[in-house]
Amino acid sequence: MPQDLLPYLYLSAVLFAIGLFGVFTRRNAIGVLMSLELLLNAVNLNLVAFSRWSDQGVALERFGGTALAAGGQIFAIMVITVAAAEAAVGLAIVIGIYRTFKHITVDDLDLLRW
Amino acid sequence: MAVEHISQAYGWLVPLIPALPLAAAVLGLIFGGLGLGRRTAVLTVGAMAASTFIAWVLVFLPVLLNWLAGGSPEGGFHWSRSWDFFAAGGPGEFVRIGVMVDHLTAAMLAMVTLLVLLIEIYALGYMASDEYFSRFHAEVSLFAAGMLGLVVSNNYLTLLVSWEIMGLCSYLLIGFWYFKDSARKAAKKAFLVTRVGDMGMLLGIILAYSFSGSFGFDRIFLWARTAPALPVVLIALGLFCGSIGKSAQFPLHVWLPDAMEGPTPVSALIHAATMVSAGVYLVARSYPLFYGLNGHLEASLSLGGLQLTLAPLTVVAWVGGFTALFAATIAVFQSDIKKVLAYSTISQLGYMFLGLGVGGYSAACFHLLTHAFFKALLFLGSGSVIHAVEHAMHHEHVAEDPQNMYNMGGLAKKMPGTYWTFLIGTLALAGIFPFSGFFSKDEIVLETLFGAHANPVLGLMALVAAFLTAFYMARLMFLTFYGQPRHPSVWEHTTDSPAVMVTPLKIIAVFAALLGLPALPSLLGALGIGSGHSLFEGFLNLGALAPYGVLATEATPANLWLAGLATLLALGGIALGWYLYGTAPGQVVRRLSWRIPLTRAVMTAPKRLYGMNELLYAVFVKPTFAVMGVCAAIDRWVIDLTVNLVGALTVGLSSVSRWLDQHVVDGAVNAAGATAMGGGELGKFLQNGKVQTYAMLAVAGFLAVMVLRLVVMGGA
Repeated sequence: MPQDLLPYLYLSAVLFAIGLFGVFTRRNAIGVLMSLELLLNAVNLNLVAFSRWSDQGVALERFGGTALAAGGQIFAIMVITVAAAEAAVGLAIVIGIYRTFKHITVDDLDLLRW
Repeated sequence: MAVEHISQAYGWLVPLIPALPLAAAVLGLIFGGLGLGRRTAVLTVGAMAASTFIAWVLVFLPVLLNWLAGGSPEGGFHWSRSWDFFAAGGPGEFVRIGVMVDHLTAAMLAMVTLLVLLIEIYALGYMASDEYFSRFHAEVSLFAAGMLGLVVSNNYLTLLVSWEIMGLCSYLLIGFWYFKDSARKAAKKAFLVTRVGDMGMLLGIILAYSFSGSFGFDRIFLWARTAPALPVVLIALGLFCGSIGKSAQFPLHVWLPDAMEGPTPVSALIHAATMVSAGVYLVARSYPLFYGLNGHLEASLSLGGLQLTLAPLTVVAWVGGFTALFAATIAVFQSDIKKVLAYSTISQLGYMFLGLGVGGYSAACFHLLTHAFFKALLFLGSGSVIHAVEHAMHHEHVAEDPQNMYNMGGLAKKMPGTYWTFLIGTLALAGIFPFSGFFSKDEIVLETLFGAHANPVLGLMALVAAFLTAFYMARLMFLTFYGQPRHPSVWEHTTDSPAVMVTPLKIIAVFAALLGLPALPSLLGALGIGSGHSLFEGFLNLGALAPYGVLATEATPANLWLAGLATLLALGGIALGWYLYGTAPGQVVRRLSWRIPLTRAVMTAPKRLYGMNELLYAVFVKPTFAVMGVCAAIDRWVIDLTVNLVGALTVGLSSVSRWLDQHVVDGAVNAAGATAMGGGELGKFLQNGKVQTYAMLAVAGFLAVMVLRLVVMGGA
């Protein structure tokens, strides 16, 4: 594993952990959505980092020369697009929740409880 | 028609004789129930006529003519055929049943079929206005089937079945008018009293089967030739028990007078033609068992030092002789016309057993045949009288007993047809020459006094009974047909019965008058004319006894002195009857005699039937009740207790089982359920409905899988 890749992976892992923590602990639905963005971006960072690293010719051999050189970066852009859509849908749900319950505190949304 | 030819066809002809009336009885009941009513009589009378035709033209007359022509071999005509009935006794062994024809059977068949046919025709008139006409004819037909089956049987099995069919029919017919309480009681009495005798008969038959291995007459009689005396004697005595019951001998005679509750044709049927003669026939048929090889069969046995000698024929003779005298004394005091004839029947059956008992085989069978005719004639004649008087009383609104002779009188002028035939029957019964009863009764008295096993005491009893017979018949005649009518208005309206009733009377009267004539050569022999042998004697002895090696006794030569004495006694009895009941001074004497204490005491006993009903009640009914009481106690305190104990045990065991079921089996099931529910109760807390919890659990699960992978598969 090359030394110059590791810092990106550490950063990505930290970001992912922070996002995960946020998703688990935020009581506000908007906060949960925001933490979700952190998760996605941690993944994006990973994708870009591995893409850049694999351009150095190592990965090409491993995948039989079939992968595009900038595949990871393109995939990151895909993720950003989907994240935008996801944010839109998520916010629409949050608005729906608000209209129904007059609050968006996730802790109190336990309709599916036993 | 030669016997040899006809015997080829007997195999199916002879069973037809009882089968036809049986079929007619069944069909008659069915069609009667379907509403054909009196038209069923065509069936029953037709079947009986067919049986009569077979019995006379195809059985009796060929056998008789063959014998008269001297064509019979030494043993007479004897034909028998058996069929396998059911497997019993061992591998390949069968109980066989079958039919037979010999001289005795042929004579009986001729008598029974003709009388039953005439009685059925008579009943067409007598029962014409009865509501249950078709039932009556069907039951009479069944009765005839029973009697004919008995006569043609060649084994004790079908004989017993036929015997019991007659027992059943006597019950049905005596209780025919079942709405009368007295008829119901008489029917039950007849059935139960004969049952007492049948018990002994059944034991005798079972003994015979267990010793000889067969029910067939042939094999049993052949076995008896070489068998030890004791079992043979016991079998004979057992069979005779059945005869005592069926033929109403002392002490089981009490059912017969009560049986007069049935319609009068039934009385003629039961008391003359069929049932009572079945008892005599049984002894006559089983004679080889009674008689031994050449003389009275005896068996000695010692019971605790007491020596007993059993001689069945001696028993038969004494029972018969005693009954003949005993019943005659009762008949003298009866006021019911049918009761007089009933006791007369008992008395005459006693004569027959007396004849059999002293070795007068042919004499007894002869009397059986003649008596059947003249007693059927008398019963049907009395029925005709009752029928006429009842109608007249009904017309005149006189509420008196139409059967009581003291309500009649002077009927001779009003009912000439009935009167003349009745007179013939009376003369035959009283034993006046040349009517049939004179010959047959004379032969019995002759055998009793001078036969091979003569006994003067029994002979004296027979003579006294003969005197009494003439007396009570004269009494009956004078009270019923002569003298002044006691109810003139009823007498005025009495008319003779219709031709359908009187014609059978006339036919029977011819037989009652002439049937004795075959015995005339015996009397002529005493005068020194001819061979001196009664035709009956040869005919009956030959057929029934010779095939079994029994030495038929030569009938005792007729004795003119005895015949004269018997005639004098009969005339004396009639004269006494005339004096007491036909003349004015006689009636004064009769009434006065009741005022003399001594004569009244002597006459009260027979008037009260010697207390036989009470005695039998004390001997049979009371002990039966006592035994039943003990049985009831055993039933209650032993059997019921056991049953209850078993029940209680079952309940106890069940409650244990229930406890186990509730607490162990159900407990296990409930525990499984409770575990599932409890698990659910605990697990439900995972479902708190919060998305974050679910997400956390998903990640935790993912992490756990990853950790597991690292642990199991190692790094990288």
